[in-house]
Amino acid sequence: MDLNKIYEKVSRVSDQAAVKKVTSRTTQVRFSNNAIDITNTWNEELVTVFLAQGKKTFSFDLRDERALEDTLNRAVSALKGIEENNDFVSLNDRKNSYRTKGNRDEKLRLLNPQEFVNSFIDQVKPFFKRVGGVFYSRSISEEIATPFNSGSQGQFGIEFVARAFNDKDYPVQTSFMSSSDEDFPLLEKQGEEIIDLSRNVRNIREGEEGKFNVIFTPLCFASIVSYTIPMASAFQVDSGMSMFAGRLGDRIGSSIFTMYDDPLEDSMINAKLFDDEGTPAQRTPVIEKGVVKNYLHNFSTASKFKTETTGNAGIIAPTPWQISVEPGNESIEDMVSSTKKGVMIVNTWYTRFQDYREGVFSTIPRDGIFYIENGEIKETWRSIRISDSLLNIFRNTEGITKETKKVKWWDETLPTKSPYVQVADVNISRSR
Amino acid sequence: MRILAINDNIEEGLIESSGGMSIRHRLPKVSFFAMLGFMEGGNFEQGTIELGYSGGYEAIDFWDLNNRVQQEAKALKKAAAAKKIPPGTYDLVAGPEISGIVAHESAGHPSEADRILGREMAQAGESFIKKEDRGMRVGSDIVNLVDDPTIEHSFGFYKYDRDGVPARKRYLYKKGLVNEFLHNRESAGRMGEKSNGASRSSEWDKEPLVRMSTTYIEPGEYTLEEMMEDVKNGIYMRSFTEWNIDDIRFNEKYVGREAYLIKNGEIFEQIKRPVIETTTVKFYSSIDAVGKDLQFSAGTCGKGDPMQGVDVWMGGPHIRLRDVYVR
Repeated sequence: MDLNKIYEKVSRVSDQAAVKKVTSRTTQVRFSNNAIDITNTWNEELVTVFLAQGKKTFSFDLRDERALEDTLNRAVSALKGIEENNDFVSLNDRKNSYRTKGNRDEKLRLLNPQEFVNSFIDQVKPFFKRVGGVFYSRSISEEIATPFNSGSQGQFGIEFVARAFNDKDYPVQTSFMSSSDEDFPLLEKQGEEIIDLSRNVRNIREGEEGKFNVIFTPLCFASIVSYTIPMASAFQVDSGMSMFAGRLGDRIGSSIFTMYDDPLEDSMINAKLFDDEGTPAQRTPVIEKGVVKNYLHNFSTASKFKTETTGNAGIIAPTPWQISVEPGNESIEDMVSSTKKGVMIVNTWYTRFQDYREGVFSTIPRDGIFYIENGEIKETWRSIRISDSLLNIFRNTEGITKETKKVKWWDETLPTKSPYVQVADVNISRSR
Repeated sequence: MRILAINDNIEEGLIESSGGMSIRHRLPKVSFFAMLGFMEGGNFEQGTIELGYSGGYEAIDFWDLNNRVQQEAKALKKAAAAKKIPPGTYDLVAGPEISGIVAHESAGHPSEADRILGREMAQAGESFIKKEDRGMRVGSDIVNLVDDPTIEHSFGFYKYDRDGVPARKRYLYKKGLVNEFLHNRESAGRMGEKSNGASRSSEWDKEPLVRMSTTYIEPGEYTLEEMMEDVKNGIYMRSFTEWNIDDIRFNEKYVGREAYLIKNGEIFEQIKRPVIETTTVKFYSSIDAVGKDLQFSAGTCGKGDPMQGVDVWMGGPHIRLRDVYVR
């Protein structure tokens, strides 16, 4: 599809239009029970169109340019009947220029997905009863046109996740995500990593209730912040369904805790040059040294909140791109050895909130719950739940490692670079 | 505070295979989603309404939408001002919304044969049910769990699945025993069985997986009044807010949204967010009465990698459980 032709036609019937074309090639290898189940390749091209007549707005997707005329006619007809969107002010009307990306990815691009997965299975199979997972390689290019800006950007990235069950059916998990050849050695070490993790599994039993000192691994903490940062979207704040609402400038966390929306980290798979309305992407501290520093804005929400856009359009709702949690000074070895009584949690899922305003939630740890006593892993737990609030988690953050890992797992985590994070007095509950 | 969304779509498809299958379908759907929040004096309560319908905009009347939203808003206002109860053991009367989520999460998902076979091991997980577990007791003998894609106007409606197998009603749990797994052709082939038509995909280019359709607890003989009158110290949980379940579908949590304390068979007062953390077997085994009513709510069930959200209904009648730990 020709972006410029589409933009030209859309702009004839609108006061402002933003047209984005995304072309992608995704290869997936899924495996379970020590064997590949399916290999997929998707070649996709999608154009998304936003148009405004005054304050009336309409959006649609296009998969076939031949459908443009008909779809556009229906859009124009629909605009006559709909009410004004008072939340829309304008697309970003400044002329912008964009940086160039700095990552190298030739080695990652040359990797053969099936060979990698088969070799991974062969490596870990002797240590486990069964292993499964998924490998993705994805090449994306985007073009954008608005009345004020145009640009193009591209990114290649690899995601790899594996979950392996030992002879007692206890699972552990590893995760990798990168757009940089610098991380290639880490990808090659995923087998070693999951085998090492399984060596911690001992004395498996049902976990206990109570308040515990918890060490969140990078994968687990990535999940926690992946449920946190979308609440910093000005759309979410405006709706009232956000723990950040009314807390801009307030201290909500420990002074050692800083978290960014970080599209400038080019070694991660969702790095951006610009957002959906042509604003340059930027690194935005959402929580800085424990203080709520920024909401995530597009041009219209920024106008409404009387501030500057942070380059997070979504034209209707601002969206985070990818997360960086600021590393600290500790080592994971010291963190474990200095824990008198605590739990290290590898992964979590099914995070749900009963109160978005206070961040009250629960989530179900999985894939490695290691009980630590006097600096040593003594037991491995299952069947526990974290039932707490995000405000408590961030307030009680007491330790952060120097070591970080880039992770992404399924729909549970955004692309995230996170250290190990130690939190005091986390409430653990379980079934009765 | 509110987020409201109404959606409609028409799915048209032609499925053909080298085995001679040729099925054309056209299915219009309408859905409604609301997230509501009420805050007063520092007290906050949130709730969601999810409705879905296969058909046209007659759905608005079918749902009785205006009344439903207003009722929910009023209930949230009262819930925000309500107080917690002391933790302890209570009898529990659960409404159709609770029956529905429990049916979906702890009967539908663990009965999916691809999970039982470990094909989803790295994503949504496996199942506490193993392939040799048919006949295993998981609930009291009045508990029947059904998945049925053939209910007219249901959100998970279809006549033929993605593999071309005719849809039919399936008893997942019958008289409290594990009865039938949900199969697509792949899982059925791996288990040496025949598919029962549970193959679905969210889009034409995503692999068909074993999925639910409309999953519910089959109604029994009780009225709500009959269930309540026999409860001395209990809770009536009409709807839920936070919930989750582990990846073998055994340990689960439900937090009440609109909930009341029952004393001597009567509603005594509204209470704030009672929490049940229990297991699938404990939950179903504690059921001693099943209502004759039947209501459904809609959802988008997520599974697979890449994630495939498919439309489902879930529901059931009011049910009564004895001696449930509530905090």
